[in-house]
Amino acid sequence: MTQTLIALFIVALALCWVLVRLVRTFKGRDGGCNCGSRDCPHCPKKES
Amino acid sequence: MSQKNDISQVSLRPLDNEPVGAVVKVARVQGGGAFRQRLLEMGFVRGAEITVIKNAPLLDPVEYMILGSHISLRRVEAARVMVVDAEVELQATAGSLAYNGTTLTVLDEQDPMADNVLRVALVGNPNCGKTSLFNFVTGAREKVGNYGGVTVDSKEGSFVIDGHRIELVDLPGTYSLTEYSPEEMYVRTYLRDKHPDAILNIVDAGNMERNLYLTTQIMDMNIPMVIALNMWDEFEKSGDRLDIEAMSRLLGAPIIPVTARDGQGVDRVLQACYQAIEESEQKTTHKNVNYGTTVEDAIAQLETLRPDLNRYTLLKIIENDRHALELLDTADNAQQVRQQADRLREKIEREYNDDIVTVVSDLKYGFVRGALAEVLTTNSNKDKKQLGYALDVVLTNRWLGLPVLFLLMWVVFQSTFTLGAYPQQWIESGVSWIGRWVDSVMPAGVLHDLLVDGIIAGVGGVLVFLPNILILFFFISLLEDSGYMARAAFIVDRIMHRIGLHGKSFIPYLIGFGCGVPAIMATRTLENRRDRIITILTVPFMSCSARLPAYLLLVSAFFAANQGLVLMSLYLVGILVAALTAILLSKTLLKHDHTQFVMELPPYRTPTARNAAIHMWSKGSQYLHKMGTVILVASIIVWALGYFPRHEGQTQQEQVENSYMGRMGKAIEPVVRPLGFNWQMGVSVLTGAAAKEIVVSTMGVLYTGETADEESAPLKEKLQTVTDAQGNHVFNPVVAYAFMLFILLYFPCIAALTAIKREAGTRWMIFEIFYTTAVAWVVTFIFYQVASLLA
Repeated sequence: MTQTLIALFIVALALCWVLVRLVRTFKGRDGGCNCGSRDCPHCPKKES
Repeated sequence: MSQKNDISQVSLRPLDNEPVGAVVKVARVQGGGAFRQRLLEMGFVRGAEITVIKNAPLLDPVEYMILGSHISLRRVEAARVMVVDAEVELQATAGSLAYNGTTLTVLDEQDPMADNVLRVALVGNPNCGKTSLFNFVTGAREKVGNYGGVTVDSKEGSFVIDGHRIELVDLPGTYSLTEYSPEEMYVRTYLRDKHPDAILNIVDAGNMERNLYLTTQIMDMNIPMVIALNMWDEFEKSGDRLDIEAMSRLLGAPIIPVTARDGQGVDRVLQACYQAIEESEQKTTHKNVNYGTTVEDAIAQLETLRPDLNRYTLLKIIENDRHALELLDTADNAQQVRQQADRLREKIEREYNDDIVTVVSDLKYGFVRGALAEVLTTNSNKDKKQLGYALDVVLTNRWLGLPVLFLLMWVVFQSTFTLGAYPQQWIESGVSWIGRWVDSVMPAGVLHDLLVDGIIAGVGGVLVFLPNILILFFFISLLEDSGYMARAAFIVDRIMHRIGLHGKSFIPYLIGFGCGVPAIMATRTLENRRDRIITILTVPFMSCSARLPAYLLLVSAFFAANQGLVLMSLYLVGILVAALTAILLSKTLLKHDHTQFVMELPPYRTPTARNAAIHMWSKGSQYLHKMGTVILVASIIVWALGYFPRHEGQTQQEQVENSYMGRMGKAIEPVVRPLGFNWQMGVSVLTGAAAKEIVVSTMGVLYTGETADEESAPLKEKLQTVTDAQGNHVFNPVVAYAFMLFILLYFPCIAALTAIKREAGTRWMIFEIFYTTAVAWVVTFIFYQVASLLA
């Protein structure tokens, strides 16, 4: 049971990550890229 | 004394007919428009000497040498340049004779800075070393390449000097501030709107004449300037001598010799930038080029009507520049200014007996030549055939050029497999060991399955290809830094022209072999919007590195004997489909006129280990970053979709088939079955929408439970042995190649689609999704059906 709960929690976290990226992309704060390059304009903007 | 000929009395001929080896002199550039202006600004002014170096392998374009640098020009454009024999003494234009030195402009009181940030903008010709210097100063790892068009957007970094933090902005390279392409417009708009506190003008010391043309425009902007004479080491070796102090006095700016590649002189440059900013607050005058009485009077008259505009803008208004005139429209006296500018322009054209664009170009080059005559002593014993161009005898040879290009491509791809095989095995063993260890220490359960079958299988399946990615980008970096890539554009230009593009599109295509996102951004170097759209829509067919894991997996599993060839064939198919698409678009939806092509061919340079290492590290860390984010998340979600809902009493295979993933796969299976795919493969390509590496992750997750081995075998072996319900092998070479074809051609990842949306618009993004998927389906269908019949 414990294992199941932890696994489901991890899956839920992953889904939240996807949702957040989609919302940010839709709002223009995120170009959908994941290259990680420091100055990539399409990677999620870092909050200052 | 030799007789100077009036141009109207001399027989002129077009440059395109000149044979290889001919040395001629420019008499005139025919026609009008922005491209003519570009030619003038690149040095094709009356009296300039041109040497015909060679024809491209397909006889077009042609390589010329002018102002000490190599330029490639299509024959149809070269035909606009009218020339005479080099021995003919032409009556120079009044403009080119007019070396009037400099003049001092009284500066207005400086407005207080809008913010407290000190900003220095890096401006210079393409390929003069701006980004090298930027990387050195800021510690950044921005991509550097020995060809123009690498930087297409500004990059910001900072440095600290005497306790003050100064922002450094690396702008795209530009030959002049007359925008001929979006990147040049970007530079001009940036300088106009952002008002940097100083401009650091990077000048190639071996090519000063052309580089200083831009410098004269920067001088007109009345912004404090520091000049860094880059590639100073090569200049010193040439034996030429420069009186730096005198040149500094002439241009009214400190001049520092640097070698940005090694960082020599960079400290002095930064100190000079800071000093220039500090001194600017007390400065009341600024040195400008003196254009002679008529033009100076014109600028002065216009300035009385618009004292808020700087000399650069006033001169542009006189030149009838569209973007400068747009600035007038908001003012009350716009009409008056336009009329006055028209009158002044007509007066200048009457006096110089030439159009305003030619007059201004001549005046600027006249100043540059006059200034260099005072300060530069060239070494008469210098070997004119630079070693840097000697390699072109073979590499861009008419007969050898294309075969050499293919050979180099094959070497790069084959090395990716051969050299990458050993580290790949180590990582595979490591991933397997981790999987076995987790399996042994953790009791059976959902979390256990998530870790072993989801995360380790998914992420591990992609991680093993890291060495191959690094090796590929190492070689690409070598080719880029050496200057060979510009030659490749020269070689393929004629082919590109036949498909409705020109050689400059080769650069975005090349970048697209790494990643589609920067490649799509790199299309900003293309002047024509239709060229940009066509290139943007066809770049995704250049197989990006994200697809490599899928190729490497299937090629090593099913084509062990011809790995390099098979991989290369995929890239060539992508290029072929891109070419056909470009032809189709240029004849239908995106019909456009002939596109001009002019490109500088930089000298060959020895690639530096530092740049190659930066490039490899950059790519490697990007890959690892992706592992830790989107691929990890996707592996978890894919696993969950293939794991739930749970049903008691089912076999592993039944469990997967009845899961959410299985149901999705079964739903699309009728669509992919004609291509030879099963539902697992169909679902894998669907998940590739997030990132193409996830295709392999998904297969890793879906095929993990397929075999009953005690030890988890590598995915490759599983694909070789997996069978369907009838006991037939799911994968064979035909199916494997078909699968790779589909992965090559179908819609790009979300990141690339977002980039397309930004650069071309939503409509073209939607078009791209449907078009690429349709092409992928049709091509794969035809291949699979025909190959199955023949096999």
